Amino acid sequence: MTPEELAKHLNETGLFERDEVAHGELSMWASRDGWVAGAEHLKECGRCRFDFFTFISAVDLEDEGFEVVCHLYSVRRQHHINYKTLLPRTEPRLRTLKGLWLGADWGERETHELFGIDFDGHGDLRKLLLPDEFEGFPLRKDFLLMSREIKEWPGLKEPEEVK
Amino acid sequence: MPSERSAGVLPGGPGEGVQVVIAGEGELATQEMTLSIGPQHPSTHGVLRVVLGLDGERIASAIPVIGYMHRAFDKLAEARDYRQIIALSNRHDWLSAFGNELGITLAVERLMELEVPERAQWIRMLVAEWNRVLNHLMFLGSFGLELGAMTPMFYAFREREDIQHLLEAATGGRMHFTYNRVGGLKEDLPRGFLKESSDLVRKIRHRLLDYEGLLLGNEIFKKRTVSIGVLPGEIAKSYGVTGPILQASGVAEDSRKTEPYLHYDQVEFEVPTGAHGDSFDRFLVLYRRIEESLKIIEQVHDKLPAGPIIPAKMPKNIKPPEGWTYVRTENSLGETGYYLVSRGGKEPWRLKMRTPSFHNVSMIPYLLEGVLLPDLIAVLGSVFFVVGDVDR
Amino acid sequence: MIFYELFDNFWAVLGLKLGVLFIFFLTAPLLIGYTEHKVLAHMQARLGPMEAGKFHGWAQLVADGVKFIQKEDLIPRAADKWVFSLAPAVVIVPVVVVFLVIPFGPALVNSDVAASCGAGGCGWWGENLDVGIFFVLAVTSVSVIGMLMAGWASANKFSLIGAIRGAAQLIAYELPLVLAAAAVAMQAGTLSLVGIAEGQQSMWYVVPQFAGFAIFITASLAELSRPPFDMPIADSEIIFGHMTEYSGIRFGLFLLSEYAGIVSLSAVATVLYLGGWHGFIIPGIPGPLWTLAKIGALGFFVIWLRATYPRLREDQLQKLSWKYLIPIALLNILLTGIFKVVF
Repeated sequence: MTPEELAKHLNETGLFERDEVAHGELSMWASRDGWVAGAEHLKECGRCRFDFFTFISAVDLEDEGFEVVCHLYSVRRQHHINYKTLLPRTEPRLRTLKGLWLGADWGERETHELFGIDFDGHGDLRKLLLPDEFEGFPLRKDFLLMSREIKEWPGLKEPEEVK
Repeated sequence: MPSERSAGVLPGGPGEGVQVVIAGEGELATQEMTLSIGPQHPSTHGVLRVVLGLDGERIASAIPVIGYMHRAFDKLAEARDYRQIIALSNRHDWLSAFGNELGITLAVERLMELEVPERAQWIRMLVAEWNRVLNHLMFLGSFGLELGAMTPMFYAFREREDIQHLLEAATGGRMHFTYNRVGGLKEDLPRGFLKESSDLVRKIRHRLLDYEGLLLGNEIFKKRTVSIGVLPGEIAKSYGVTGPILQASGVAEDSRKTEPYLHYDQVEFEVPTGAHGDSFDRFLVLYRRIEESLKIIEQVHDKLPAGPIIPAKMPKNIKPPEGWTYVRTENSLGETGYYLVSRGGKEPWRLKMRTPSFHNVSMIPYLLEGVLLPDLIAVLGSVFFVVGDVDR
Repeated sequence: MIFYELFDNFWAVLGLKLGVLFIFFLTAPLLIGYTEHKVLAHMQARLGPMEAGKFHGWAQLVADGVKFIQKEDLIPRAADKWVFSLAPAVVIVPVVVVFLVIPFGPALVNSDVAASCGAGGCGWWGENLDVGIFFVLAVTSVSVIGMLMAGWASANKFSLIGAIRGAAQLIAYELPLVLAAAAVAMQAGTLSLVGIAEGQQSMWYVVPQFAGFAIFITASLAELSRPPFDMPIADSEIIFGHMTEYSGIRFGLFLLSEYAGIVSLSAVATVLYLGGWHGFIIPGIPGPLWTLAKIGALGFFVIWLRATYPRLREDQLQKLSWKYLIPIALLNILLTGIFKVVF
């Protein structure tokens, strides 16, 4: 299905809050509590059939909170979807998708350690990429890149601007 | 039954002897041995650590431990502009570096809605396919080496040397090409490149027969790999596994066919699939993909148009408009995708790199349950991954 | 004549034999090792050693030996010191001892001329034992103990796995080796190696015993842990098996024992099956040169196998031995016996 058709179909189910189609791609937002219900529909529904788990990650939108992005693909129907939800900055919790797709396991672990988003029901949110002793959540915008604080990066300027 | 060993506690530290955990009860209680394969081990391609719980030579549990090579690409990308990100991105799947660069340039071009000139697109296809051959040759050779056949490794490297020499003439680099630019390429191909390229295609095609004799037809090789590490297609899809592994499990999913980018819809090639999803099939698919890539390269030779390689009106500072996009390319190991969120600045707001090796490695615990220790090597060798790709 | 008088003196003969064998033990494995470097290299589209000794790196292994000797003596803290130190000796001494009984050429001097020569006369051998082949097989199986000592005493899990695999493999392949050799002994009618070699004057035993020959070669490869049977060493899985923690001259002795093992088992196979010192086609070449040529050919074959085949998994290896090699070897003995009695 084309992104527009898919958007229309998914809007009819009532499980999603809003949609956006840009550059030929579809994004659907679900509410935080409707995260798993929407995902179940995406996996089970015959017209959607999203059986392929591409990735799960997050975007730090500063004041608006965290936007969790889960990209899914359907091998049978050959369409994509960016399944998103918005989490408030003060309480970044979400239910896990581990029961639906096996790839969510590591993806959620990575998102947890890099953003600090808790996934209820996952049960095993150990650090994946970072060392065990690491403190802080690196990909948040308030976690500053240390070397940038000490010295401005020389690559920031164009060659002509440097005296 | 395995009592004192909890999932998160791993052995470490110097001078440690055999760590035993009592599993089973009664007089026949056996002791489960915890063995750590890696991070320094001849068989794991790079710094991957797999903590095994061994019952004799049978694997009771396998936990991959990754992150030894995490270089914070996502965070660094937020402090770089797009030209610098191209140079950073090709450090991940270093066996076929061009594919990584291609993804990021396609993502930026899609957001900016840039028209890439025809010649640049065709040359990109040519170099991407040569990269695919490079990558697959490496895994062909190293898989044999892990099973004990030393010779294919040297043959594979001989071929790789020739290809790297060819690509060095065009791009200036043997491994990290940095040939892509947003909108096209750095510079045009040198004179005589196409002739050398077609000669090399012929030479490699001829030499591929050696691999068939040494490995694919070898009785011992077949015994070590057939029916080892079977991966059903549904599980593979659920894990997010792509590329030759998914195709070997019977799912003919290839982004070059389903969503052709560049001009892959104008060349003819097939997507080889395997019947059983075992290690031998993965290997066979890899071998056939090389042949298909050589076919594509030959077709590109014929169809390559003349023209510029960068649009005439290129903005000096590359600032994609606000928005988000996900672009995926069929890289050698699978699907490499970039989720790019831009807020109109010189740097991206968020750049998430979705790598195939990450998902391939996450599948290892599933594959290794109940497998013998030598089969671990046969399985690990057939799960194609590059550690830089896993950890980013 | 002084020549015969020399053979009359027991100590002179003993000294001469030990000297020659010592030189042989030091040079032949190095020669095989160098051949392996070069043969493997050329089969893999590369050159091999080229630097040490200027002319095509002939001194590479000599340089390696010197390097090993001057290395630091490392023993892991958790290792069992004495067992760890003695293991290389237990592995290499049996291999050297085998050289004592292998005949490289025909008898030179009759026993009635020089009394100190013993029953079979003096010839191109160290000692003509009446139970030659029995002695060889018994002695080569002592190496298993060395492997187990090395693996256990290293306090390293990879070494342990390698040693256990090695013990299982070597025990499994003792039987086919013994059974194949027994068929030859039956055919020759004697256990003495000199007698077996002399019995092949008209026809080499490889012709009637071709199955036995194949079994003997396969089993010797497994005894030596050479590819495709190098699971105990398996350098892509368990680093280097029981030899992982060794360095310096101890490691050098392990490697020397591997190459010396190739030489000794090739020599035994030559004597048993390939006619010993008997030549073919080209007349006039002395016996010992034939023996050395045959040992070299078998050594080349062993190296060739290494370049070609991946390794068999341990259980496939065991299956090969117990389910295939041993029944065939038993059948071979049966047929040999029948033919001996009937014809």
